[in-house]
Amino acid sequence: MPFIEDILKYKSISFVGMEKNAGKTQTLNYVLSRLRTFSKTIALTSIGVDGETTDIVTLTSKPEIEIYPDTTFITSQALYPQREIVSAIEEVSNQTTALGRLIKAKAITQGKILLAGPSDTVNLKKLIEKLEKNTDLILIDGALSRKTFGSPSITQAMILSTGASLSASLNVVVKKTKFIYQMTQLPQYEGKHSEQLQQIENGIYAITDEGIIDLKIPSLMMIDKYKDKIFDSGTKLFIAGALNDKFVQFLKIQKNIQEIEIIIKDFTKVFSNEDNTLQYLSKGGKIKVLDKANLIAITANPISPTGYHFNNEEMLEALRREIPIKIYNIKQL
Amino acid sequence: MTFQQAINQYPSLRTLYSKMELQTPMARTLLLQTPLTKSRQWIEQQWQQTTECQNHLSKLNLQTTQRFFMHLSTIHDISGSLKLLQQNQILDDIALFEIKAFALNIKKLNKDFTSPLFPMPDLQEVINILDPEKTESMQFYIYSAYSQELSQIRKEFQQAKNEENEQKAHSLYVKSQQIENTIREQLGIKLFPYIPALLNAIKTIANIDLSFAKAKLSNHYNLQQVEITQERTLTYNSMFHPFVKEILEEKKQTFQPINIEIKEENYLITGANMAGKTLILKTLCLNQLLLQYGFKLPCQSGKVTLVEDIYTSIGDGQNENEGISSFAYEILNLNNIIKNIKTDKTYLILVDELARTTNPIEGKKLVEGFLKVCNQRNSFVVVTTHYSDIEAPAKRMRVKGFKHQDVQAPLDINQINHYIDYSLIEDNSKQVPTEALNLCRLLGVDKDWIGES
Repeated sequence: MPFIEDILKYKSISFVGMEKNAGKTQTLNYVLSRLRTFSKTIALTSIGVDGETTDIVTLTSKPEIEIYPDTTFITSQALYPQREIVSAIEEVSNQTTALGRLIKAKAITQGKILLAGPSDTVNLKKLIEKLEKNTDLILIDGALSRKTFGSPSITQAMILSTGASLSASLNVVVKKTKFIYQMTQLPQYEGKHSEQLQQIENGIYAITDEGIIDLKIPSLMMIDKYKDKIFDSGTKLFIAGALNDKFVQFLKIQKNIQEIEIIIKDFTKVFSNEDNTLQYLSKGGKIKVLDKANLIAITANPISPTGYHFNNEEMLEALRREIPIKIYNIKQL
Repeated sequence: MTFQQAINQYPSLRTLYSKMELQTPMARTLLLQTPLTKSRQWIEQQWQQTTECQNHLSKLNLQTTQRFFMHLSTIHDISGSLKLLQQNQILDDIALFEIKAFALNIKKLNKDFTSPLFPMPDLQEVINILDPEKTESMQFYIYSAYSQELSQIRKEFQQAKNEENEQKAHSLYVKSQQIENTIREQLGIKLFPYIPALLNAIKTIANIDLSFAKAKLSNHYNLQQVEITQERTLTYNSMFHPFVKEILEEKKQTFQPINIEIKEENYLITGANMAGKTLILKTLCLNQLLLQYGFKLPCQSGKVTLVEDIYTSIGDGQNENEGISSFAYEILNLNNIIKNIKTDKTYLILVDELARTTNPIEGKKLVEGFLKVCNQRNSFVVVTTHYSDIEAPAKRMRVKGFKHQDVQAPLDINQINHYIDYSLIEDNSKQVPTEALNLCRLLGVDKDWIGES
């Protein structure tokens, strides 16, 4: 199984889905079941609470991730009781999430669990570092969402799930998936002050030889008011939050586009429209990331929950033609 | 006044609090809820406990010390769970885990530190109840060892999982949940008699943590015990302000400690600007607070009376003016003090430059009146002033001030300490030092401004 062998090369892997029902949980469950045959210690957590499976308000979601004896998992106080497994609590942390304190537990039997984890990158990093001490492999239920500040890019590798749930048109699925793939390939920023930039939570900054200059622009949403100020201190800009479409539209019509270098934290911060972003890049504009995601494979689900489905081979072929990495059909794994 | 209220009112005490290395929320709560005490016995007990912890720290190397405090910090407050237990509610696995972890952690801590001054209840029985497999490992679930029936159902559940019979597994799981709940209920009944012991252990842990934090503080700032006395006195030998001393020492300068002896009379302090009058008041205030909250004090030795309460008027921005003028604020505050103090009780009243924002003629009258009114009370009153000819009952003290022979202009404000003798001397001249212009000269201000061009 080449897929599993690839996974075993890394210490931490995040699983992200392009859309609800794209097959992320299925992929994760497949990996977990396969890993049983290797004697590896495994720990599981998630970035924040997974919105796909959890109705946070009513807490009535069903556990869907199936784990096996001796697997460590992290969840929250409120979600821990919602499991179908015999498991022993090993630690209750003081760190809290929206759903209470974090609980570390170990599976005694096989069974199903619901995951929760820190929703911000800093705490997620800390948790991963702590878990790494006693674990061979950490699997993270990730998210591609503006709701969480945590980024799947902090893991050593990432697996993306896509599929028919995105659109009834195979072309659209391919186009959207390819765009995410392209964003994961954005080059890493290795210039000045990258350590410092990691710490910045919000705002827009110019990076100059003298240092990092706060442009005092409260939000890219208000870009219209500040157009004249953007390039006051040069064309190398750091955006601490999301890169939105309005800003990219503004960038792509600049005369000096080839000199513009936008730095963002990681690919999940790209919220601009696909076409605008690609136009900006193709005209010579640059986007770089502080944390480069290492996308090692894509799983595709030919079946949509609304009923229709793609032809297995057609789907794989279409995706493979456009995206040069390993792509698996979740239904044929 | 609780410690919590006091830190909101007194910036120095707040600074001290921020420097305390408390490991547990229990100790924090204990400290914040501590009232300003008048119990000599309690204070001396606190000192004894602090000393015990200081002795213990002196025996440990850095590594064991760090391990000890790390360990202390892992102990969670379980009083919430105990409250539920008291109300006969069924505890969930998380609460049961925390009780077990608490008992295990205390057992571990006891290996590093025990003292008759901190009697810790034996919690072995609590561990036994929550550890049927007798592994004493830091984990908890409703162990199969609690019930044969549960053990059997779990085996069948795993079997159904292996056979991928999800429906069967689900119904077995539901059944196991019912048994687990009965066991949780029984565990609650078994734990119930140990609630007092557990509550006691929480108190002891809070006390140990707080005492070690006080011990570290005492070591760091060289804080000492004083004699608590019934005679009316506030006497300190080599009293110092810990944070000002620290800042000076960071700048490679030395803090000059102060001797002070306040007895029956009001105490009127004069002295040039920058001579440290305000600092004396602040130090007296901090010392009294520390004493009556059970801390050791920044001085070499002392003999101190416990007071009913402390009132201050030290305008250093500790109270925002709330939209009224600084004069009105000060006067209303002082009036409040006069109204509040009772003749049969002893208070400490510290007033910095009384009525300084008004003209010297009326200002002087306000100072005299205040001292007269206070004289009829039974309190310690310390007032600083720049006004001359104060006619009121008070012992007059002056900060010695500039060592003129050493001073050379222009003066470096950062080196000011070299030129000032901060000690207090008795001065019955009723004249205040008139050194403001001299100081301006030394500080090198514009000559036109001081009329010397």
